[in-house]
Amino acid sequence: MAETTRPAIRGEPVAGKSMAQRGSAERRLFLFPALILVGVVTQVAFLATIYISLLNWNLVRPDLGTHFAGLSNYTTLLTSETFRTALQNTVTLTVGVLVAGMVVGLLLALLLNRPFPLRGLVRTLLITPFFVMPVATAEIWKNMLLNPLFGLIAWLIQTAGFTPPDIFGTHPLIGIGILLTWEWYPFFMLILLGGLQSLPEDLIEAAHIDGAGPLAIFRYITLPHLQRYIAIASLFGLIYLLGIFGEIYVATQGGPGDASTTLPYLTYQTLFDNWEVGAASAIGVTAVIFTIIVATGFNRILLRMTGYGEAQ
Amino acid sequence: MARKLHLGTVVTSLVAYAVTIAIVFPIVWMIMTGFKDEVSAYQMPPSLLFTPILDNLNEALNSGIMTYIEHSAVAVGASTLVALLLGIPAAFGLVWHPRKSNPNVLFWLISTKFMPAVGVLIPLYLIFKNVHLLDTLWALIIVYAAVNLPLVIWIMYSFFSDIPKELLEAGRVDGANDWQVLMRIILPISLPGVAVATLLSVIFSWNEFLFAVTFSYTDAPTIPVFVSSYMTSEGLFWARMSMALSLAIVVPVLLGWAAQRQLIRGLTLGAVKG
Amino acid sequence: MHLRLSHLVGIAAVFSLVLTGWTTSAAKTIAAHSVASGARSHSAASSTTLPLPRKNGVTITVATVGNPDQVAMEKLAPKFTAETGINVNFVTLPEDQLRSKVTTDVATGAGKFDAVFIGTYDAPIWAKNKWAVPFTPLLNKLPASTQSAYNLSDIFPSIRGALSYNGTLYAVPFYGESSMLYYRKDLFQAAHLAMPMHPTWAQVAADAKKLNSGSMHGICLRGLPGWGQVLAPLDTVINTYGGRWYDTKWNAQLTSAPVKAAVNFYVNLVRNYGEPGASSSGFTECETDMATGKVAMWVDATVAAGFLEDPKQSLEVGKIGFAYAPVQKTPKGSRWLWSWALAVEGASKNKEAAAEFIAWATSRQYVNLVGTTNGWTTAPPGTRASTYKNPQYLKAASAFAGLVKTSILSANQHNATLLPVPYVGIQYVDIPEFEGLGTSVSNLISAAIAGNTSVDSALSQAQKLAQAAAVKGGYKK
Repeated sequence: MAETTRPAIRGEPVAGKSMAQRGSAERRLFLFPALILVGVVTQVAFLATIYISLLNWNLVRPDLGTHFAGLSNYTTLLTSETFRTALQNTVTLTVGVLVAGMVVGLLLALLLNRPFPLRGLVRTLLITPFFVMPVATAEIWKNMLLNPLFGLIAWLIQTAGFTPPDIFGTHPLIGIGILLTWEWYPFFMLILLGGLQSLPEDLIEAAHIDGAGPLAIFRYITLPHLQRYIAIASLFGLIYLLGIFGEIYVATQGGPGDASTTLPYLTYQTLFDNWEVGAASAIGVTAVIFTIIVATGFNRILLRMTGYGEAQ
Repeated sequence: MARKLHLGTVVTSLVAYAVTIAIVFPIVWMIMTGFKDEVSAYQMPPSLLFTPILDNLNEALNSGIMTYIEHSAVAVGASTLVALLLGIPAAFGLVWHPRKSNPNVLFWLISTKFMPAVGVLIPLYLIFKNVHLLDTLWALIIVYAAVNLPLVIWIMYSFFSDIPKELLEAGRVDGANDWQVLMRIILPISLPGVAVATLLSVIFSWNEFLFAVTFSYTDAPTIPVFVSSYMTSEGLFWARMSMALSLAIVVPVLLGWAAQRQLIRGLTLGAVKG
Repeated sequence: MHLRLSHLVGIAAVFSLVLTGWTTSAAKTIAAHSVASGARSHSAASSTTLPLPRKNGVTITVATVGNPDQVAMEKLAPKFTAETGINVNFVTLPEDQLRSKVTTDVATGAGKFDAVFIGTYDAPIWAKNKWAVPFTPLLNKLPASTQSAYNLSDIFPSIRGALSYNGTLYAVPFYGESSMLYYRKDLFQAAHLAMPMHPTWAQVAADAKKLNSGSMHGICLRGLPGWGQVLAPLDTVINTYGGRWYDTKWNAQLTSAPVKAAVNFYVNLVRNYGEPGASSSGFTECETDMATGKVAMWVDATVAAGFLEDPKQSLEVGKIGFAYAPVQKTPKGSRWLWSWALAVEGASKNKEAAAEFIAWATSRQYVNLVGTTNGWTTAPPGTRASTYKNPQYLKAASAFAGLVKTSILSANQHNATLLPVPYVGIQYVDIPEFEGLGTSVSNLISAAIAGNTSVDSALSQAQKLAQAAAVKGGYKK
């Protein structure tokens, strides 16, 4: 971890105690407003959530009152099958969309890296799905396109002579995965495109001269160069994807059964269907712990892969 | 050699155009549906050629969509401004006066995004209720700023870290104080980063749904609330909702298009340093 | 002299007819009424205006769903403001979000709503939690002329009862609905099939099988998760098969023979002869299917009748036939009862203004206003006897008005099952826990419809959930 204390300002003076001391006050001045705002809003809310998770509080049964319940919300949660399914679904969906988005993003980035007429317009259009409201995305895909009776894609499949599948019924996670990939691939594409564009031309030229074919170039030059970008895109993508909620809410409501229930959706259901504020808070806290574990692990891999702070 | 390039380019172009049309078509379809009436909206076989009607557009405009857009603009604009005003100096502080705690600070910032929004909904609701900020844009501004700050700081941190040492040394040698270094040397060359941070912050806040619906009633509803009002469990609404959705995505899409050049440059430079 | 007398007799007869409201020249009605009671109203009394006192400068916030009838109300609200000087702000959200938002608001004491749309399910719970205030005392504060023009007793007692708690009325119905069967007259004719007015589920299943071919599907039934989605029609099937959710000791009955038979029937019917994508089809999807001619039958809310006959929303206008909701072993509980109703929130600071708005929106005059402004098929149905005596409404809705009225009047929440039960409700169990329980069970049923699980497995899991809910809620001792 020691290497990571150096930001990549090369040769920046680190000795000289007096300089370091002098900087402390300024550093605090610059940092504190931001940290305070974030801290107050998120940590206070988080502490309140932890406190509430120790209560039995049903919003529509004021006659039962609010009682201290210790860790019973957590024990009930961890032993429930729905929680395990939700955890599984969360992991499957997140990893699936991460991989799919990255692959699609990579392919499109490679495409956009080559010059061709109207490239600017194409690039502009290709990033559009990222800016569409998640609720809109879900509505479009669920009803306008994929609905087996009156969806457009379903109609196309029917015209081709096949029976349109009921994706959200039989394979809800795949259905949601499709619409999430459509929504998020631009995020990955942009990062990877940036990476491709920062790849020095002369390296490729040299490889060509050496007689390397396009596949070899990709494998031994492009991909390693992109490692860093893939890692960053994955970390951010992971954090955002783990918390998605709106798309599931609109498309499947976590169903059928709990086939597409994820941790965030389970939290919502527990809060607004069961009205159990305490239990919902417990799920939230558990989700945080889970994400910390995943992100920490991921961060370590990331650090090792990108050689955080190695000299440029 | 020129001939070979031509063929490759043609193939690339065709593939690019085909893929683009396929990917963007759902959005086009949605916009088209907004100009149909309810009955034709879901007719199969679908009508690609039709006479557009403006009823849905008029209805949306008459339902006061401009007010919602205004509210969204204020909430998103103000919160992004706050995030930039606090986040840029914060990232600068981390880079200019580095400490061993830097990675921990960065990790802590990102850890604030681990809690699903719905988990803190009731606590935040109660807090805002007690300070009488429910149904005001302030509630959303505060929450969005706090939620986007980590992103802004991470992005600006990457940019600042990438600046060549010589430039910074020049600043120190000149005897400039920290603020001057930031404003006169570092910021001007980090504008792509600022563009990226701004854009992502705006898009994520504009599309944010859960807090917007929960904290607002009648004085501060934003676009997501407007779109929700078209969803009903009884009665057809496809065409009208398509129009509402089309109008709702206009701002972020236009913003994204306008800034996408900066966006790519920004994401590029940011990623290099992580 | 003779002629003059008969003239007078004739005029008196007309006058009495007018007084009993048998004609729609309601202007004469209210004018006669005003003359008779010497009322002083602040605005011109007419058949479409309820006289209401002015309260200038007051603003109220109303929480509402975005259903077509409520959307129409929002568009007509400026008339209310013009008459009373009370400004109305609407918060419009889909049902479940509205319920979340409103419940959060009232349970945490934020109290930023004045009038709230709640359903027959919510009313007793709200009353018990003191989240809503009784309506009648507020109505009694209004001037006598308003009260008589409003005529509370015109509202169907069965719906009023469903919105009361311990005999006190807490919410006033805006529109009421039951369930019924819609079918394609032309398809039935072509197949030489007849649909009786009171079909049985067995007949319906047989018809669905016969009409299910090619791109036409026999029937559309809800399968979307949600205690108000798939469970609504399913519960009526359970009832009519002789099943129930709990016995009198609050033991869950979801694995009992009649319930199993009912659920198996429903799931198999929709899987074999129902619409594809059933597990994500709710009211709106089935309505779209029926209106675009994809299904031959549909059992669902009576409000759809108006939509299916509206050329702006349906391609099958004139081809739709109507029948009562099918029965099997018993007619009890075969038709559900639901009403969206307006209640004054307990924490509201403008209770009287809210009550005025509620009176305006649930009055006979409002029904007339909608009828004359937007067309009589769109008048809010199922709340007032006067609506069903109104010749203009009857003419426009002749095909289904009588059916709807009878269905609503005969739907009894307190007597909806073959065997006695400890709960109230036809298509739901009216306890607060039902929202969570019902949602979970509906998810299981939806999975069974999608074919991801067997009915037996779904029901045994549902049984466990229902037992747990009864214990946790303190019902089962």
